[in-house]
Amino acid sequence: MKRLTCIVLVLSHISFAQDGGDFDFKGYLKYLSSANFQDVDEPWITDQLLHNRLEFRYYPNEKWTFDLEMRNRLFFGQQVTLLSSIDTLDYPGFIEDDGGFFDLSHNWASGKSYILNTTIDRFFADYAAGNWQVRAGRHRINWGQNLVWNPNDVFNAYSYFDFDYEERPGTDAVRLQYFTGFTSAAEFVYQLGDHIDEMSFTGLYKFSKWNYDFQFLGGLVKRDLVIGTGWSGDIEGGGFRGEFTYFHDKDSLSDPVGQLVASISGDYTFPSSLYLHGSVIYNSKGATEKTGGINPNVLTETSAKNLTLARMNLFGQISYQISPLWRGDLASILNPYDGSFFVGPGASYSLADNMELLFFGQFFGGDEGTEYGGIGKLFYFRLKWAF
Amino acid sequence: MKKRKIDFLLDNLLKRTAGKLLLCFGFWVVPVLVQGQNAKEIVMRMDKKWRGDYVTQEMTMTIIRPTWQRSISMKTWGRGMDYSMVYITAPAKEKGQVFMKRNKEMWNWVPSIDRMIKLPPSMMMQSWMGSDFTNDDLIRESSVVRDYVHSIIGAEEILGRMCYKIKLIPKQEAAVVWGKVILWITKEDDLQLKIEFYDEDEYLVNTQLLSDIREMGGRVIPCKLEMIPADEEGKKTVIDITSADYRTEVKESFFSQQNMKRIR
Repeated sequence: MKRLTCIVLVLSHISFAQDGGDFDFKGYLKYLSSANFQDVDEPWITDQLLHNRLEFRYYPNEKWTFDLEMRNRLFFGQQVTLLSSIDTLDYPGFIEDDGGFFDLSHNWASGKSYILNTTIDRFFADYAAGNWQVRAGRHRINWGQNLVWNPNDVFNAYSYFDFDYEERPGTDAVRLQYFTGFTSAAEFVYQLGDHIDEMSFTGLYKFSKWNYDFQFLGGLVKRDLVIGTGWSGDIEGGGFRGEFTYFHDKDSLSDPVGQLVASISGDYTFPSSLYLHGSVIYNSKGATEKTGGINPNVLTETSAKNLTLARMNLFGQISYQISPLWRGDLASILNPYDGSFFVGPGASYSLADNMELLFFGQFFGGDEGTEYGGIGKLFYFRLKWAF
Repeated sequence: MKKRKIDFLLDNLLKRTAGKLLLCFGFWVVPVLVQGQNAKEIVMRMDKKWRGDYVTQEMTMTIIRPTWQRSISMKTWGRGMDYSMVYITAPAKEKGQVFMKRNKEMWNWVPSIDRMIKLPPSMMMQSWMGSDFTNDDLIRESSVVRDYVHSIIGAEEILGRMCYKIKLIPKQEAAVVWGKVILWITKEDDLQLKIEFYDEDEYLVNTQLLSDIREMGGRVIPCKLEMIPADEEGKKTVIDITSADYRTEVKESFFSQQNMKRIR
């Protein structure tokens, strides 16, 4: 909180010659209800989440932007009761843990069956002049090109299964961008950390050529020296994207082998709006036998290095606009080594311009000890009102 | 070597035959050519007037179905055929999203996740946000001038104005989904008032009606566009242009990824 106070003090002393400026406010309120079970006749574990997001943006003039965004969440239900009863887990503490350089997460109240938390996930000042742009504070730096797995997204990779967190977490960093052309830019990011092993110093250069977007990145990301490349383009009208990132522990450079994480994807949209999407991820350090399971309820910090626990995962998706109001979606992930899998059917319905219903399933299958085995089936129902 | 020679011979033969044909049928071929030229010129004038050299507009699109309707509002900027930018202003769920086209390439900026997504061409023919318009209709990748062969097939009155009725047949190499398009363009001031879109089997798919003709931002334009799918009672998508500016130049440098992140 001390760090936060410092920033607020600095910001409050920046004065602006112009009066007024523009103010922007938006947000949403979501109610997410879920049921988790191994078998439909076994006991269900239900969970409820009231999730409010507030976004404030202030533009004092053409050059400056100030942004503050927060999520307020009330967790309640059996899942909370169950996880809170595990002494070794400290579930309220897990929810409150910020994970960034600044501690901007706070539990207002918590009990055996509820937790009320506020997390500020965007908090930054942005200055743009000429071809330059500088942004400092907590913000998202997204270097991904693919639509599912992003090995190039070295700052805030996310778990695909955490579908309810649409905005994804932010990174505490200073980002300097220089736009070298209409579709090209060079940038440098310094990620704040208490210790050199938590800091990052990374550069990226991106440009367009032959109707493709290309990017190259390199630097130090926490403990790893990193080098990577990514692209987005098309083959016969279908999207063709890829990302390769190579990580090497900076403290064991004598070790000849680092870690390569790569993902390639293709997607095609038919005039009927039928959308097909396939992707593969390769992780050179991934397991080719049983990986041990993931837990989608307690998603630990995901990094570009552990997007999958296996050597390889395959992804397939088909979606279709059934009517302007209904959209259907079916996604699946397979671990070809241990045979475990994920299937996610979903349907969304527009109730009004700013109101949406979502029905979603996360069905995991596989033997004990496999990547997706032992998780069971999760059913979700979500009502979202945006304002 | 052999293939080249055959190509040369074929080419020569075609030229000579074409020459003879032109001589034989010259009397009626020439007027048709002139008429074709006229039709193309009318479409060009209409397109230039409608599109302008550059234009800034605000509009609201409403999808209307028998039991419900949904609206989406946006600001758009265009420069000729090759550059356009769309900023979504409402509803709240979509607000802030930006689409940009530069020549044949298109990007989508999603500010909530700080993500620039390059859109592949196959997405162009997809319906725009579930409406009766495709991405292509709005971003205007295909050109009514460049991608079609034009001919005048009659004259009809629409909204009390006399119009040329012009048939457009897509050129073989053009990336167009339609089999045929018919345009009604006013004789007096080159405004299009009606468009019919036919599929490859010559069945009517969509009809677009343009109305509410007024002066806006330096031009007289239809401010209301209705896209009506054929054979579907009570369904249509309406675009209302709420403001337009044809006077202020929109520079090419406006259409940059840097600006996509800045406009509002």
